[in-house]
Amino acid sequence: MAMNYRFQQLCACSGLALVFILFPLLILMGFFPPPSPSEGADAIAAHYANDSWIFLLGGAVTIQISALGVIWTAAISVQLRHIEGNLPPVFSLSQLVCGVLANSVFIFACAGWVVCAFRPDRAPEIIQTLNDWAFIIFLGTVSPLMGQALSIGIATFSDESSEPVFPRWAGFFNCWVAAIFLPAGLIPFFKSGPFAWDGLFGLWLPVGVFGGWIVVMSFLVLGAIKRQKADAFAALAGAK
Amino acid sequence: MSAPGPCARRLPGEEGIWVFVLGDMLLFSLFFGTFLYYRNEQQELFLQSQLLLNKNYGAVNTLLLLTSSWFVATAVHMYRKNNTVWAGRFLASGFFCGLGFAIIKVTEFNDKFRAGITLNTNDFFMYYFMFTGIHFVHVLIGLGILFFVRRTVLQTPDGSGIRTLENGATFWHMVDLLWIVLFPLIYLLK
Repeated sequence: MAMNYRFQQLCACSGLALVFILFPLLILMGFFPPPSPSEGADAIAAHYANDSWIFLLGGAVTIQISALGVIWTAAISVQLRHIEGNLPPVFSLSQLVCGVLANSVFIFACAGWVVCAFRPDRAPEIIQTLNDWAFIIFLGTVSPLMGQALSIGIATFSDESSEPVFPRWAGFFNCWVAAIFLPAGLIPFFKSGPFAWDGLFGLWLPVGVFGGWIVVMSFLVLGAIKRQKADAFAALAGAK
Repeated sequence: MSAPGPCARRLPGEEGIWVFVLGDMLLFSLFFGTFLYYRNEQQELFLQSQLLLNKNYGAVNTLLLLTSSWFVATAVHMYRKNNTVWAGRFLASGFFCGLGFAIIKVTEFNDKFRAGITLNTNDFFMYYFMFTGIHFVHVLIGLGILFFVRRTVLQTPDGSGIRTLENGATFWHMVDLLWIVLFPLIYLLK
């Protein structure tokens, strides 16, 4: 039994690990701010040609750490399962599948960056195309994340137990997170300004809130696991 | 419900809804700040583009949302006095005012598209479409909430639905408040 809770804690912490690996890598790759969508093909190609090994490293590592995000999703779904009890597991399932989809987005986007840096001497237009493709997928695919946040939010509201798994403010917090992600879904319409993929509402706010959301949810899940673990061991001691 | 005295200070709804409301107002504050910043840089363009907006639509919509907010606030009062039937009627009135706002908004967007004005026409219209569009999404969510809240109110004549009602009303007032800032900022500011 102890092993089960230990692994749940590990899964919850993997969200923190994801944030603390992903953000330094993104900074290292020079994505804060990223190459502007209004830059010409030659300028974009130059980014990848100058430091191609950084993009190879950053992209390759990010592809591999996507599993951290998926098992973090699993840890949350276990908690949502607690909320559901004997009811059909709709929240935990929708959160889980949205989380899997959200993390596969990482893989596709990173593959774009890696391929750009893999042969940096190819035609600049091709590099620009892959760069566009990677950023539009990476920042523009918001609905899986919104689905995750809303599943957590609605599940939290549905929690009628006397000791709720997540505090109710967490439900509202998750709804707010979903609202913040929304404008990033519109990045394909802009090549400059605050709604483009290098702007305040296309990049900085959603990505910042994304990091904060993972940290907050990780700690909430860790707190819930701690309570459940104590309850389970108390029940075990009582049964003896 | 445990009715506090008229002078008792109490936060309407629960703390959590205020997390959401303050968070969302933070997002819109950033919108307003961004708009003002870029407006300063291209004042002439913004003023000329503003002339292409139909102020009547904006004004009617402001009235509709204000009226709607009043209906919803009255519904809360009615419900506190255990008058479930009238609370439901006021909520329905609030809902239809909100629906009117949504219909006018769609008509307004449609007018713009037919006149060849889109998101990419210039910076002013980018902000116009994005901010009023995101606000429009809030209105649609608010309409869903009002519908749900009315059902809860009608099902709980014992007053146990007060938390849901106050939460919903708080969200709806926020939608109203955001529009009251958006309207002068985009349509009227000289």
